[in-house]
Amino acid sequence: MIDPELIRSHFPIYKHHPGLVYVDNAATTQRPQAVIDKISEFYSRGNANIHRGLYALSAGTTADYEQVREKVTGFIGGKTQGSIAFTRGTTEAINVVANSYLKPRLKPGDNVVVSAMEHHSNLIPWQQVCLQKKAQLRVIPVDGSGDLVMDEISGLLDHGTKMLAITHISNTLGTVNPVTQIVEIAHKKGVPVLIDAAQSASFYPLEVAATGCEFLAFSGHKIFGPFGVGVLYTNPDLTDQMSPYNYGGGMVTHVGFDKSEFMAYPYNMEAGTSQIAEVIGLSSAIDYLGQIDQTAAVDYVSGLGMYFREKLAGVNNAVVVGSAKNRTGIVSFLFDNIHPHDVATFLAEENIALRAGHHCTQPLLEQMGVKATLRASFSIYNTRDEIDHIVDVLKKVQKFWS
Amino acid sequence: MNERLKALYQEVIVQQSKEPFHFEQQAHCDHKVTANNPVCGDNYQFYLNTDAKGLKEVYFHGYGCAISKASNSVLVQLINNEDWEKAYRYCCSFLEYLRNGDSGEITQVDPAFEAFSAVHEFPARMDCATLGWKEIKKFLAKKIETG
Repeated sequence: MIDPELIRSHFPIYKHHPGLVYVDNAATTQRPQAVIDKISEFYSRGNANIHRGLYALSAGTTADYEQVREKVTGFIGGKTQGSIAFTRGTTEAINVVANSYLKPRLKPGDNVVVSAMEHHSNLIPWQQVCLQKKAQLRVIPVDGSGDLVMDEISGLLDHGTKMLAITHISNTLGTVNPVTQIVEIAHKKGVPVLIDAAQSASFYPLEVAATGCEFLAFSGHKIFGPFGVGVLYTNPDLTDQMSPYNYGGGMVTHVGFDKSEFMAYPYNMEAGTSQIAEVIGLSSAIDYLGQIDQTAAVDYVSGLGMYFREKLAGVNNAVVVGSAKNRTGIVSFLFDNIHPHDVATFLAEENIALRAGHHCTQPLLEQMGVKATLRASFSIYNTRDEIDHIVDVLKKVQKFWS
Repeated sequence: MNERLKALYQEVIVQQSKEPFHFEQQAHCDHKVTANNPVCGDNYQFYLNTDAKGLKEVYFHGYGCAISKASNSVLVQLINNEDWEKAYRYCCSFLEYLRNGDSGEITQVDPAFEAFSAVHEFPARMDCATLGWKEIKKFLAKKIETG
């Protein structure tokens, strides 16, 4: 069971901002004290660079840093070590795969498949590589309710398909995609799959070993961890096919003036000094999530989404965008007579933090026939009382404008 | 509704946003100026008719919030049928007024500006109020420079 009051007590933001209604969790979550303390402790007690020093501090930090790879492997249901590389975030992880794995093997006339509900970060990296290599970008359509048109996926895949990249959860509509089924469809045609788990990694089981997906990416800051750290999972069968992403120190076996030789994955992905404190902080966030019943969290957050949608039905002129079968606690909505930014300003004055705009999904919104929405995205520290408050303010806004 | 919001969403802004001045697409015009904010999705098109001395009929159309729509509506009202220099000065003055309030060295305060006096209290909304003015100012500066 989720006890939101207990959970709120773990997050110091609520001490500093009493009355804050923070429902922008799809953009970034808050941080529990444990994560903040861990980062602070690292800088106070453990600070040293990794992989280089022969002294105790460096050796200790190196061991701590490397252990996080194992922890992340367990967190995402991986079985084999050596599959986790640290990036700056989901966006960088996807760019790594597009450039290190896909680009060298993508030929003119090949294609990459994405869906119409992708965040720009799981669209543009593929689009740009396709443009550079004269390959085609194919798009799995989304129906009017915000569900993927599953029947069309197989038809889009052929011998030229070199990647299928799909989000686990839509950051705009909250649609939860059946990724296991999608991986199955892709694998029948021999197509590798990247799963963008940015919105799902916090509570949804990722089970990379069970699904057999080739790549998975997520960010620390959306799972109560630090900004600036992300995770790239690469299926152990493909790690030897990942060419270096950036070049520099820490990723080489031999350097000469005429040529250099590089370390194997994941070290060839991590040139230069890594975001060590952030990786250590990520470890603490995973520990924090380990104390929370994941199934209960999924139910709780989806329940908040459902409660908010029901309540919105009682607000004049409010329209929920998307009605997918399986949705999480991300709700896009709008008023047909007031622009989302004006509504968001009214809400901000009442200490309600939510997002207004296109949420980095312009093609999706275009297809849904809207230019911008308001988006409330809930987490385990949100409550029904907060939703009641949001709805009361929305009713006031509506009264003012009509 | 608190006093800050009342100051921001004054009657003038709400009215102007509901019934903006010269808000219609034009199939033909001498110049088009686009005001686009990729961060929030606001997108307006200005349709400018001109002669040797300055602007003739000016229209605008597009999508955006009440602040941006009202602000563009006031802009079009002020620069409609104005000569280059005067239209340019309106833009400079408005932008300065929003930045500094009354404290700046504003050469030309128009009463219409006052509806936007509370915008500088809402830094997140500054772009909404200034987007169109900045683009029109750029266009006019070029026009004045090149003749």
